[in-house]
Amino acid sequence: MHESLLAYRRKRFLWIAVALVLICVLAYALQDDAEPHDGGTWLGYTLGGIGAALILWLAALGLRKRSYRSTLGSLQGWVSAHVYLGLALLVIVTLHTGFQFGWNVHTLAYVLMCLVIASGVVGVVLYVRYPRELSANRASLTRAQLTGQLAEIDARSLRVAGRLPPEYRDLAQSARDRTRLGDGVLALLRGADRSQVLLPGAAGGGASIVMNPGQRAVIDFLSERLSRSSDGAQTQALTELMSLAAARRVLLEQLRRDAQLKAWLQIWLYVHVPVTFGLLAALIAHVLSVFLYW
Amino acid sequence: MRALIRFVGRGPGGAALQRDRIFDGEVITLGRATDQVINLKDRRVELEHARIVRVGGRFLVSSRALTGVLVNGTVRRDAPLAVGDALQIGANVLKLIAPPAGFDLAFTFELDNSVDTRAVEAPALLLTLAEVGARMQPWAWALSIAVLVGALLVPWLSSPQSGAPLPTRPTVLPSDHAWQSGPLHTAHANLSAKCESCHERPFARVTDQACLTCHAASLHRHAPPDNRQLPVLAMTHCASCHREHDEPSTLVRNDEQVCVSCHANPQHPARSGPVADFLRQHPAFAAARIRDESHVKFPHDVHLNPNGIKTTTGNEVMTCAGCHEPQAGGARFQAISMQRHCQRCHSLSFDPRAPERNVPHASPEIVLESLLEYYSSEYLQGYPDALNTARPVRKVARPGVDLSAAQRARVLARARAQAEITARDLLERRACVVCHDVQRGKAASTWTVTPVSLRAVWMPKARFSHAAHATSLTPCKSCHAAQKSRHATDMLMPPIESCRACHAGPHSAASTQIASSCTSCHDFHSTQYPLWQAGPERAASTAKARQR
Repeated sequence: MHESLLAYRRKRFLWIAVALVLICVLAYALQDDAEPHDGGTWLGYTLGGIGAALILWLAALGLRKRSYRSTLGSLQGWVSAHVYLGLALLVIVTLHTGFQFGWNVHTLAYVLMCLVIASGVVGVVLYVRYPRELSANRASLTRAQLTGQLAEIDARSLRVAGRLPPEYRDLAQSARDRTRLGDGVLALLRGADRSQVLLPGAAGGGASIVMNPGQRAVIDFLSERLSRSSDGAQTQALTELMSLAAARRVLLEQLRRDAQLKAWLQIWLYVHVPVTFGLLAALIAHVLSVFLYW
Repeated sequence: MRALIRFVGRGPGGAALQRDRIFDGEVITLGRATDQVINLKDRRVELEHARIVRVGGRFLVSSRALTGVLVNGTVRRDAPLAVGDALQIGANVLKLIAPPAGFDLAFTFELDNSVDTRAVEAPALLLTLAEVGARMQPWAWALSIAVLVGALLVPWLSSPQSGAPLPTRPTVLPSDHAWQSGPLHTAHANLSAKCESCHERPFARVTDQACLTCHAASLHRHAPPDNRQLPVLAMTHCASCHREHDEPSTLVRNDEQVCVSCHANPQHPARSGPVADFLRQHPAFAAARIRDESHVKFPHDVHLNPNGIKTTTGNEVMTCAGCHEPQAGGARFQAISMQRHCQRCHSLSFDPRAPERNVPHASPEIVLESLLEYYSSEYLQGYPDALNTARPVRKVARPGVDLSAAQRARVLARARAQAEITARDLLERRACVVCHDVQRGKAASTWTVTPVSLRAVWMPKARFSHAAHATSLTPCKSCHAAQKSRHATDMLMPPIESCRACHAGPHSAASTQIASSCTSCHDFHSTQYPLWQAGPERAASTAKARQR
């Protein structure tokens, strides 16, 4: 039975995080009223120490993830704790700041931490939403199987086109060559289809490159030619070619959606991980600068 | 232009194959990208490798690609084209042929089989972020290095402690200003560009000496160096109480702990007793226990009679403010003065025939002296009738008549006798004794008046501003029971309960009370204990104290 990382061990780490936050909030609330509640008080130092230790431990998930031989708790447990303690970190460090912000390295570290936590929250939301959709879209096929099918359809299209005048072979070849999938980060995330095709011109006319989203240009061209075809063998081949183009279209949509979902499952990490390194640098600057000018 | 592109190749089985394609357009683009007019499936070819354009009547090939184009065997970036020329890009060969009728340009296109064709492949599908070139490591490196340089290295190099400071401090570039956790108090605004004036050494706390650089001279009032030093306070630093870079900006910590940490368990409990909170644990005001020693007779109740008090111009209702005039700033009051506040009614005149003449408000000797001067002058001018009447009569001396020495002596003896009578009357019955404590001296016609010492400040260790408390809800009588006071020795300073009606400690204050910490009223040890070495002055004053 699959257990979500949020529900891991009956949300054990949720309760640990809630307890930690409650203790910190209580200690903060009971602090002497008149003293500024910033990082300079004994409680401020304590909260800062807890925060820094949490940041280092949360960042260590990247190491734990790569050490397959580690017996230091299951990776799922680590991720579950990572999520809940990461959220607790936001509260603890906000108390550490005493709600004093400014244009300084200390607030820089806080802002970077907020960015990391916000991107992490986005990641959790995506992890909860998309994997189900991902497997539904793939219909229990692997990506290699999908691309294999595509290659097979391409090969068959070329063979069928070989039975037709050369312009159809060009068409099939061009539709295959000019199919775009994974056309940059944005196109991947948007699921944009910027495929093109070189359509043969009308009799005597020049060929032209046209946009071919969803293979529509190819299918329209073939159906137009099919409607005018009177030769039995040619009609047979055109019909075959068209059904292959339609199959190709479905397969490409499936692949594109798969790539899109996969990209969304990863894109937050492109903020989360680099900003984490920025945060570690800012944490060093924060701690060092406080004690450099004690 | 209209171009004929003739693809030449080998079909299945090795048969020669030739296909023509017609192109209409301005530019023939060649490259590996799928939007190129001629799509070259060869990894050695760049995405947009070359283009053929018509300039005037001629055709030019141009390429910005690293490998360029081979035109008739030589690498070219720009070259004019003529029939018979051969272009080679990777394994692809274009040969210009004479254009048939209706075409501007014609060329054959074929793969050169002698060139390694293993590089010729269908483009792979790019399905992941990594495959389309998204990388985390460069961003991680760039961000962490930028943070370390901008937030740590450059600020450190901008500090004079680094040896040769970078001049980034007054600019928008990063400097050690970025390390400030909060703004400096405006009192220290002159130091805002000089972190090192307080933060003298890296990784060392701000020392008391750093504060004394500026504050040595003014420290005596704050912590006089010639007083006893409590060992427990020797552990205290300037920075124990004075915090900078806090928000809201303040110079002194205003939490109770700053005082209560010692005063909850004082070393000399007899002196003050434990203090923890203004409402719950604070000694009664010392002013309520001491006696008024001003040696002046003044019944507040008579003067503040709501029906008024008899004056030379009829009944007059007096108010507190009539005598107690605030000082500039409003914290305290100006000194009470006989001339300004009392003398309008309490006249020092002595001669009913000359009511405008007053004796000075001065010592008995001077009073007697001024009376003697007055009567001597009067009698000498009034001679001889003055000698014959019971009371001196003012008369102008006849011109040209001089007194003999014997006559003068008699007149002056009479004037002295009259001056002494009047002085006794003033001092002992009519004027001075009304307010003052007057005693007759042993010698004849001598008196002593106990000097008056009006206290300006009854609670020297507390700060209190009358102006800040002057509201319609709190008239003078709400704290000072002056209207019922019959004697000047009555203590009119309010007891602690008066203050507690509105003020309480930060922890004990109800929602309708004002949360007041120690520093709301008290300065630190303003007359008690020294904490800091104040340089040479300190050594000199302790030496003086030892001599005493």
